[in-house]
Amino acid sequence: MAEDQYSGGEQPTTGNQEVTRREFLRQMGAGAAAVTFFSLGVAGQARGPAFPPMAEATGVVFPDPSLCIGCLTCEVVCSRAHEEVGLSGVPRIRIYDDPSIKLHPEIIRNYPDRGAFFQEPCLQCPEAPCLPVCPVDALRVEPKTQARIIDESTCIACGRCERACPFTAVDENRATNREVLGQASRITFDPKKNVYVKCDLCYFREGGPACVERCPVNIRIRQGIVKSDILCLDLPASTSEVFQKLRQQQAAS
Amino acid sequence: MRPVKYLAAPTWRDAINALAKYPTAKAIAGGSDLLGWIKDDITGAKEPQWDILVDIRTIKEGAAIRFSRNEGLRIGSLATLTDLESAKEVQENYPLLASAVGHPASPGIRNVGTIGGNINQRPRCWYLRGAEFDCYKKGGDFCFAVTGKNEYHAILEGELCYIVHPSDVAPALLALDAKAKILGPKGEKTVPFSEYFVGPRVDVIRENILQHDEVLTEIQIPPPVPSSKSSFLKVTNRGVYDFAIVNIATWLKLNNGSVEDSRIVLSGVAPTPHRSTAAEGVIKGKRIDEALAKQAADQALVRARPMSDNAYKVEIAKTLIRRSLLEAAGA
Amino acid sequence: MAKTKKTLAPIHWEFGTLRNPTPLMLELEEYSKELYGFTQVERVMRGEEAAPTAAQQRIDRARAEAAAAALASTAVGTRLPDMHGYEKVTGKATFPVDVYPASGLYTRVLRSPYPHAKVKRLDVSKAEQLPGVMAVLTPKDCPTMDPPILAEEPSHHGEAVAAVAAVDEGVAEAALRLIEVEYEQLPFVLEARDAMKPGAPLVNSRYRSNAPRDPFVYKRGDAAKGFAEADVIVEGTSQTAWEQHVAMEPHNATALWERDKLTIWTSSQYVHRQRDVIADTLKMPHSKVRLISEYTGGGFGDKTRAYPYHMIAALLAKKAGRPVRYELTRKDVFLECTHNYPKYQELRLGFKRDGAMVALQSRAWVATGDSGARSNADDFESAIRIFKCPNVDVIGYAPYTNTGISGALRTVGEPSGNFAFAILVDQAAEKLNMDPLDLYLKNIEERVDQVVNLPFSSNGVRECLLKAAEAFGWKQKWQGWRKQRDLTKPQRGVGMMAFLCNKGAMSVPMTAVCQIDRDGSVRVVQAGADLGGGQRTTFAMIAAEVLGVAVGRVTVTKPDTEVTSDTGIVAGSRATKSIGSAVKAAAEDARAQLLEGAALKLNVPQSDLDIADGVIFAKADPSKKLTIAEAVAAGVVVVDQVVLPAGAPIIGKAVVPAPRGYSQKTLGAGFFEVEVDPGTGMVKVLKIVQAHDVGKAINPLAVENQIIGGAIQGMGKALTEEMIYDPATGVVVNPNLDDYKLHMMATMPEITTIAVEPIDVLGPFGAKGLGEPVNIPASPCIANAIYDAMGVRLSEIPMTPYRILKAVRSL
Repeated sequence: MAEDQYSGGEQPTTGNQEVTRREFLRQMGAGAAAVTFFSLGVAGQARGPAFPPMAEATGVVFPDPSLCIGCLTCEVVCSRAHEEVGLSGVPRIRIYDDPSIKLHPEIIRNYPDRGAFFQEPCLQCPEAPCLPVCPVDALRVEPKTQARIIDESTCIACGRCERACPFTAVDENRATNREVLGQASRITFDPKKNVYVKCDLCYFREGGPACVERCPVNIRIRQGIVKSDILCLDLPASTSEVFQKLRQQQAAS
Repeated sequence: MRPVKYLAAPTWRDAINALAKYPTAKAIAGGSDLLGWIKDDITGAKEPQWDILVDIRTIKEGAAIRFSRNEGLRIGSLATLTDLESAKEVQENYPLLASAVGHPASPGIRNVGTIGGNINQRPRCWYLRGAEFDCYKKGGDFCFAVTGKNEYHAILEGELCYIVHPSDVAPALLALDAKAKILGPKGEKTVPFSEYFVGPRVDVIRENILQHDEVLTEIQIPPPVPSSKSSFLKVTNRGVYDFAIVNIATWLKLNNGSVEDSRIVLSGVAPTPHRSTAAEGVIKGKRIDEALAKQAADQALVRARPMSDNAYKVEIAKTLIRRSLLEAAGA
Repeated sequence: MAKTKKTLAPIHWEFGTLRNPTPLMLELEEYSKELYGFTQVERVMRGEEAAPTAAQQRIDRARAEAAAAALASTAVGTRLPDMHGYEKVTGKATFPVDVYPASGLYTRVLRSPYPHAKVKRLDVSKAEQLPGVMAVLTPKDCPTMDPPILAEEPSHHGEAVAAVAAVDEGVAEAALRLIEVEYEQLPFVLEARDAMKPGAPLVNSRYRSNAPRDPFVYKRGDAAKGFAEADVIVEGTSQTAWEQHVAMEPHNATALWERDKLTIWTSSQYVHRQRDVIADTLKMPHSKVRLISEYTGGGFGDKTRAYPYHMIAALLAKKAGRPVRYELTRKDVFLECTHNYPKYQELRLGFKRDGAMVALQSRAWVATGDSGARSNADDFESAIRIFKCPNVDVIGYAPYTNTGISGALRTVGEPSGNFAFAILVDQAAEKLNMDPLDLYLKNIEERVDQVVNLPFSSNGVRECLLKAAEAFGWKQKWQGWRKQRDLTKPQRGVGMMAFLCNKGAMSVPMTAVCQIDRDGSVRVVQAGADLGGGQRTTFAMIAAEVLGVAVGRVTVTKPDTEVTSDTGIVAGSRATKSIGSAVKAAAEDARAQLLEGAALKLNVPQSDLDIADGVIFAKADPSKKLTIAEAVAAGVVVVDQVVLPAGAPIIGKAVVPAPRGYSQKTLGAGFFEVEVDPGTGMVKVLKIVQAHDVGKAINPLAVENQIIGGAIQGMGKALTEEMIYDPATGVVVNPNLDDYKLHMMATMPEITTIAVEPIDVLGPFGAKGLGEPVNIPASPCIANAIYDAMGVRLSEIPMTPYRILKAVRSL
């Protein structure tokens, strides 16, 4: 069955090997580990999981912390957009405080005193390790947007995808909204619905990702009031180049 | 003002029946908020044009104030602020409440304004109240404050919407551990005020749990605690007849001079009245002095996220926490 | 406190005044003090509320007091309550907004929600069909006017786009919602400096540029050289805010057509000019348009022009065939009417070590709004005159902006200009280690206006400074520059300044008619509005003084273009001095005619006659006398040296030219004490002393009233009042009295008023104006007092807790 495709890290039985690999990933820091992991070569390796070939996502939510004003609009509209179509309301992008971030001069000019924040969404990995580890195939590539999504009706909340995600989440004590969900990576557990959730590029939504559309800084940039060539939450295609840039940015947290 | 229809409700049940029947009906008591709201023509996808006024002043016993040593204070939600200010039961047993109800607006408004209305009043955000702005709270899709003029908006817990709760009385009720009795079509329920107010993430359209066909009928405050002390402070722009920039209600239970229990609640800083468990944690079990009060104040505002124009509220909130703790402890 | 019971016999209301306060008046105030522990004036100042019976008691006592006082003849210089005061405070006065013509309609106006847009489509058909709607107005129904009556390219938030007249306001509002309008939003600019940048959006397509006229430029001497020679230089920027007058009576116009004649009741400061503009716009003869304004519930400079709302009422009334009332909502007033503009100023002053000012340089930008070219000169007029200073270089820019129109608010730019100047003078005093009072005393120019090189018609600024300083206790309260300040608790501070206000000159037209009827009662026919400063009472007192009658015998007409002649605007602090001069001259003409007849009757030369208490008598032999009524009956007309009986009332008239050869300004000084709470940013004003050189106080009670009112309005400007535009949308976020914060009676400080009387060479009885200078001291004095209290200099008003704490954090 699906389990046969696994070896090494994601065996259903807990063995020392699995623990060691997980610990290895954690201790090395997600970014470095991901590099190591992928540099081992992906498809067809005897040790690593066999990756099904997957198209690159047509988009990835690309955040720019220098423009973020921590208003949490993205979290709340994400929540609402998904609840409206019957999906889990746990936000799939999260915002954290970080006073060390260097703010864009336009943000300093327009919104002084605001504070500094960074954003953590799913990176829509070109070769997403969360997909192959799902025992029930809840994790798929969505046909229209190629987003890596979790089918909430199929998900059995085993948590393997969360553990497979190489991009850890920051300590929730630094979360701007203080909600404690026990989030460890870019895939989050919803205790109410008993499913795992992740950014799905709002594939069901006409305007695309709600966070990108409703981010007030994005709106002000589009209106020309905040003068910037980059958006606070952008939506480029998830090419490997874009992915590398994102990875560098998100790894250092 | 646009033409409105008027219905007088002799009982609470009549009132909720009318509200349930007419989606554009609103209960009116003193009307000092609702009439202005209607005159300003504030509408949106989720904010109907209210055109039927259900008068609840006519409800018998709706304004009753009853006190007993065992059960505490029961206030009909239609009691006016002036009634409460001058009620002996309140003055003698709940000085925090007596102080709080004397602060809103002006004597004229307090003569007609009810405690229920003060608790349920809508926020003052000028984008919400501006017909030209279609904001999230009215069913629109933008918040104009977060990237606009926000000197009177939230410094804590704002997300999607940054209004501040405008009530002077609500912090006092939370500090006194009060409960709300709500009547709806399915019957009555009693809810502690700590669960009464909702923030924008839960439901951006409303500020409290009342549904369209529910009414707040009574406020219940537990019997006064003998060794308790309190303090109420308010900061405004012009000193009188003004909504608070920040206000605070502090309630302490002291045991031999140290804090056994406390409730510190601020208005004007967050979308709901903000109970500062952070400050309460700092003072628990200790004697309050200048240093501790300052520590509590700093800790209370650690998670503050000032907007572009309202960082000054952080300073004011800290000052009020410090002063109210020292005042209550010294009282 | 002994409670002696004194009964006052009920007396009919009859106003009058005393040569000096009678023992009875003093007794009444003492009675109040005995009974209540305070005089009635003190009680009002403390803002106390009274029980209903006490209020009625006060009304009775006020009437008794005034009636008891109406014993002797009038005289300039006595304290007289407003002759219409009783009507106003009891609600009996019919203000223009109280006029409800039979079958009148009500108006609501649709206003642009955008700061700059084109109306692409306007469809009013559904509105017109709503039952109860009698007329709908669109731009094509309107003649051309600037600003446009209804705009096709609205260029500020709230500009009127369409209007509806209906049987009541509710229907009118419902009709507005049925009007279909499509806007194309256009780029907009809100700030003056932004409007002048290259590439800035054009405020309106009818303009060729955002700069309506050349900048105001004034230079004398050589500023660069002056600064080079200065020992101490201070410089800084200042910023003021948009302000609205918030007159208690909202703007209004009620229009009624009769065949070819139009009558408009409106709250006005200048019915004649408004009438002229309205008639010209409608292409009607002036005599066929009548404007009436019995009382004016506050003007402050905002009710001087013909507004779109006048025309809207008139045009709707014509279209509907019924009278139309337009009472502007408070939001309408904020959006349509004028404002005091925000000003950004960069100022630099140079002083010698001994304190003499040697150089002044200034650049300022103000927002004009989207209509009406303005010069921005007023911002500088004080600074370039008040101190002796040989080297001056000022430039002022006033571009158009997509905002409400800027206008006068109890002066125009003087409060802003004096704010910028006086806070820098305070800084200079600190750098020079001088008492700021001494710095002012050293520098004030008292004799000659340095800009026009003419002597001042009067200048009492030195006496104002000295008297106010003493009344305030400046020498005791001011503790020098190196004060210790403990910023953990509220701190007290004091601040002062002196100023010159550019307003107060006499200007034409100045006309009046003074008629003495057969029974000896006097009617003054003049068009000066009563804005609440007791202007009409002042005119009655002047006529009474000239004619030797009790003020109670003098009636003063209300402004009514069909009855009165143009006597100029009640604004610019000119009512007492200009209109008063005309009234005095007309009364003197009437007096001359009276004495001509009396002289013939008594067979005594005219020069031997005098009038007192309504009786004309020969000074040499007082037994030879006539009452005024008898003298009127004896009135004569001389034709070809033949003396013929007139058989008519006496009609005295005057047309007074504007005098030349003098510079006419008003000056004063203010001393304020405040308490600032560095923890919350709240400011309490504790004590105010303001002294003004009024020339001669014709009615000291009115003088006191003006100073108190001005101090209060100045406090609002200094501490709480600002109309705020949302920068992203160009929309006013606070067009209401919840969020536009005025000061309240409950927080009034102790206010001491001092009238200094340097006797103006030109004004009637030596008087000059006071309406405007009174709101100048508050902003700079409070800023200087905050510095004294906390050690932070604020240069932006209003000084809300937001700005004060921002400044404290920068410490």
